[in-house]
Parts: sequence; structure tokens; C-alpha cells
Amino acid sequence: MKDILVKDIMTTPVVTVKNQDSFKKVVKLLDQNDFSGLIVVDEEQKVLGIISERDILKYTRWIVGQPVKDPYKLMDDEIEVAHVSGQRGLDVIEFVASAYAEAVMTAKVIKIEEDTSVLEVVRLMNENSINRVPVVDSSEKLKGIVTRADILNAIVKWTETFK
Amino acid sequence: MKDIYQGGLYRILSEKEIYQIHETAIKILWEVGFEISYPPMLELLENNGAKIDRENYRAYLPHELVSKCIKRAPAEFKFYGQEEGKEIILGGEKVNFGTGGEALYVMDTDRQRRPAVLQDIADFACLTDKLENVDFFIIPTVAQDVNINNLNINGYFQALRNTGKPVMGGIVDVESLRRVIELSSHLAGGMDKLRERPFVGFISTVASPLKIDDDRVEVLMEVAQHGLPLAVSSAPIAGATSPMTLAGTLVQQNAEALIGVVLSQLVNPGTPVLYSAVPCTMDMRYGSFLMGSIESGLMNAAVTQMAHHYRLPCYITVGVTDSKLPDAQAAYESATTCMLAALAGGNYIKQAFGFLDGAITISYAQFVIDNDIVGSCLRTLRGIDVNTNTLAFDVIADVGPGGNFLTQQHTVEHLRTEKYLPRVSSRQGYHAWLKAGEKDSWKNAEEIARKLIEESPKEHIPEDLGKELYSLFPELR
Repeated sequence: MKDILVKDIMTTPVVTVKNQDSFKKVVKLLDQNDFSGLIVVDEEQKVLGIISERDILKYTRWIVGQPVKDPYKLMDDEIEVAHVSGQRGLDVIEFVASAYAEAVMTAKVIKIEEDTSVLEVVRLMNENSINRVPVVDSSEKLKGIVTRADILNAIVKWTETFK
Repeated sequence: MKDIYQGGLYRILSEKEIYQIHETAIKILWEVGFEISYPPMLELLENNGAKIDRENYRAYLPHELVSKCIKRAPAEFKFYGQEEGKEIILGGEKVNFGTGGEALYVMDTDRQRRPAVLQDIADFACLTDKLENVDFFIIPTVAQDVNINNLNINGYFQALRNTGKPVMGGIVDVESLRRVIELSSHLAGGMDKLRERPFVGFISTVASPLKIDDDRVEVLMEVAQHGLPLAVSSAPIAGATSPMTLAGTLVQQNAEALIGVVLSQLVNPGTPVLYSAVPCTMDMRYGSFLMGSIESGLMNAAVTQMAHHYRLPCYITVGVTDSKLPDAQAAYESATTCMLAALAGGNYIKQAFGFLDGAITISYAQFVIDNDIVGSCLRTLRGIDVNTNTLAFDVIADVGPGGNFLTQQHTVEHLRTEKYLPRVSSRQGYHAWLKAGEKDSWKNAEEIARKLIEESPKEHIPEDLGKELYSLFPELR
């Protein structure tokens, strides 16, 4: 297992958003692809941050003023906001929808290179309680992503080699 | 130090009614309880005699515990500004007016409505610094151009740079709070100095009806542990998140305000906490949440009396209009509710400057107009000064029948002290007004706001210290 490297298991290409993309675009991408997080990059594909479901909940909680059960619904359905904010709901939706990805993302990102061992990635994920790590080249440009699911798949494949 | 204005002239509740509201709220805290699930606070409550239902996350407060915590809280405290002489005294019937939070949109001086940005916090802080009737600054907007994790530290930094008056704000999460406290402590020259002379305060919230979320308890506990000024506000909406009746909403509001007092005093007895309230109403015809209704003004006056009854300083919310523009509705809603709060003797009267559309928008012009409205309220509190000099027997005798008082020394002496001189109002004759461009108060206020912001602002953080802060706090913009 220690010989397996990130480049052997990483997912590529990566679905990303730009720092100036709208919150609305971010939640649509998450919802449509059933992702729980997205990498935020600049025009040169350099990693600027990550937006996870936790970030989405934190942002909507702050703007709406109370926890929002289903933030994805905010963008397509007024019911959630109408419930929490009455007529002000539309103003809140407009504000949240037009916020940029960079206002919502977590900017402190742990990055790895493709020659990092998978065991090292597991250690990083556990120590930092994170579910995904972007893979970058020496110029910090995004090459791929490793998620917990990628690691589980790798373990399954690795155990199968013993059968 | 600023002039002290005393309210307490208007008492909407009788002693018997105060007692009834108190007794019913106490019954609610014990028999209905409130929802709370943050484990360290549940433990603290339990150790102090509260009944805890861990399965349903419910806490029930006995009367004795509530009374003990009310007594522990300071009846009065000083909230300082960074600048000497800008402190306000909170307690008794002393009246102070300030801004509030957290508008999402700004109506600019060109009448465009747009999402708020960080520069707006700096500009409103600058107006606060320059306008004589604004006593304190609550960070009034959510800056859409700042990352959520750096929102608080950047908001406080811009506020502290641009005003020397006391600064308060809502807090995203406990990590953000810690950074703001670190920055403020650095500015003060250490945590002890900040505690001794606090120039920043913080707002946590109770969600109506009767619930406090974990992250809000976390913020409350952290502020109380540091012994810094704290408001724990709730905003019940009569007919939606509280009973339709004003008395019922006052009962719930009282219970929710007392929850904040109890929790803060359990964490750290003596924490300077404000008995906090944002009682609102609803227009059932449109399902609209209202902040400018006269009933909201009445409830704020009543809340003030409840705080006086407990000998706690109060935080109340008036001056907001539901109008979308700085128009006649904005003026009468702001004026009537501000006047009620001033006459009642509200201590920390917030949200009184610039808020339109139920506080979702803040307007630079309305901010300046509200400075005049609050000026009129404060002038009302000052009343009529009656003494030998002001009775003016000598000057009446000197002028005699048929004369005039324009050239009298007595007139010059009292010219500026006897009358409130508004900044915005048009008081020229009709032809002079025509010649000056036929400006209404909205236009006048826009010009005044623009001029005040463009004039070089007073920098409240010295350049060297500013540089140091930028290197210590790289998230500052």
C-alpha cells in the first residue's frame, strides 16, 4: 500500500469553479454532480481554496440569520427562504446567489503533489479532518484531486490483489 | 465626555403590568424552558440548579437562578471608544443612540441599491465619527466582497480605523471572534487593558421562539469569559415567531432577554451584558416582517421599562423604516419610534441610523436624515431650561414694548444652546430655496453624506500600528 502514489488513484480532470464564479453556480455544480466539495482556482488553474458543504452552510446561516436546512433549495425554490424570512426572502436569495465563490471558500488548503504516497494522504486527511485534497504540480497548478472515495477504491483494489 | 441625556419620561406599562409580564416570563422559563444543546453550557446550567432534559435538549430555569443572575449582572457600565471622551454610560435612564446591523444592501448617494462591500463599513464608520448624534457604531453591513472567514476581523478593523466611538458587531463564529479579540487586545496594549477599558463589544442571538443555537452559545461563552460587553438579542415577530398580542410578545421577549443574562452570568459573573431586544411585528396582509411599525416602537418602550425594573442596561431597536426610500414614510417611522425609545430612557438604542426596508438596506442619505431625527429626540429630552437667566426678565425690560431681541447679547449667548440646529432641514424662505436648487431633504442629505465622507477622515489607528497589524493579521485588507 505504501508504494501506491497519488498519481495512481487521483481523479482527473477536476470539476472546478473560478474565484469570481457566483455562489449560485457553485451550489448548482455541487447539486448536479452530487459532490460534497469543489476546488476554487484562478485563471491560471492555481488552487485558491475549497468550498465544502460546511462552507455553504456557514455562509447561508450567516446571511439568512439562522441555520438553513437545504441551501441548494435556496437557488431554485423560494420556499425555504420564505419560511425563514418572509418577504425579505427574495432579497436574501439575490444577495447569496450573487456572492462570489471566493467569499464562501476556505482559503487554507492542504495540497499534495502526484508523487506523494497514498498513506501520507490518509495521514493528512485524518489529522486535518478533511475529505479531499487537491493535487498540484510544482507551479501550484491543479492536476487532479484525491477524495476519501478514491482512497477507499484503492484499498479495495489493493486487497483484491491478495485473493 | 459626551452630554448625558436622561429619559424615563414615558412609561407605557404600569407597575402591575410590569409585574405580570415578569411573572409570566418566569413561568415560561421554568415550565416551558428553552432549547439548548451545547454540552458545556448544559453542564453549567445543571450545576447551577437548572433542570435539564438531555433527550429533548431543553433547559428549565428556576426563579431563584434567574434572580441570582440578574443581581450578578452590572446595573451600569461604561462602553469606551478608542478616542478619549467618546465613552458612553449604559444603565439607569441614560439615553444613547447608535447604528445597528446587518444590512445586505446599500443605497448609495447616487440612489443605486447594490450589495454592501467592505468600503461601506469604513464609510459608515467615518459618518458615525463625524455626526454628533451617533454615540456608538454597530457594524451595519455584511460586506459581500470579503471571505466569510475574514469578515469579522476586516469589519472591526475598518470600524476601529474610522471611528473613535464604541464598536460592536455580530459574529460569524468563535474563530472569527477570537481573531477580533486578538486584534483589539493588540490595539489596547493587552487583554487586561481592553477589559479595563473595553472599546469593542459583541452580539450573540437567541432564535425566537426560545431557542439558542450551539454556535451562538459558543460565541456568548467566549465573550463572557473575556468579560467584554455583550448583547444577546432575539427578534420575535408578533404573529409569526411570537404571539400576535403585544403583551404576549413582550412576555416571550422578556424570557429570551433573560436567557442571555442568565447564560452570561453563569459563565462569568459580572459580565457587562445588555438586556437585549428586537421586538418586531408583521403585516398579515402581505406576510411582511416589519421593523418600523408604531407597535414595534411601543414594545421597545415597554422593554426599556422591563430593563429598568431589573436594573439592567438595555439594548433596544428603533429608527428602522419599512420604506424602501428615504421618503416621508421613512421619516415618520424613524421619528416616532426613536422618540418613544428616547422618552422611555433606552440606554443602547440601536439601528437608529440609515436603515430602510426593514433593515435589509442601509442608505447614506437616510443616515444623515436620522442624525437630525435623533438630534430632535435628544433636544426633547433636554427639555426647557428655566432659571433666572433664561426667564430673561432683564432683557425683556431692556428691550421694552415694541422693540426686538435680535441685537441683544442675551440672544447671542443662547443662540446655539437653546435650539437644535438640524443639518438637513430646509429653513430658508421659499425664494431662497428655489434659488438654491429646490432641494428636498433626501438631496440635501446625500450632499452632506458625500461631503463628510470625502473630507479627510480622522485615522484612529496610527500608521505604524496599522502596519504592525497588517503583518500580524495577514487576512486584513
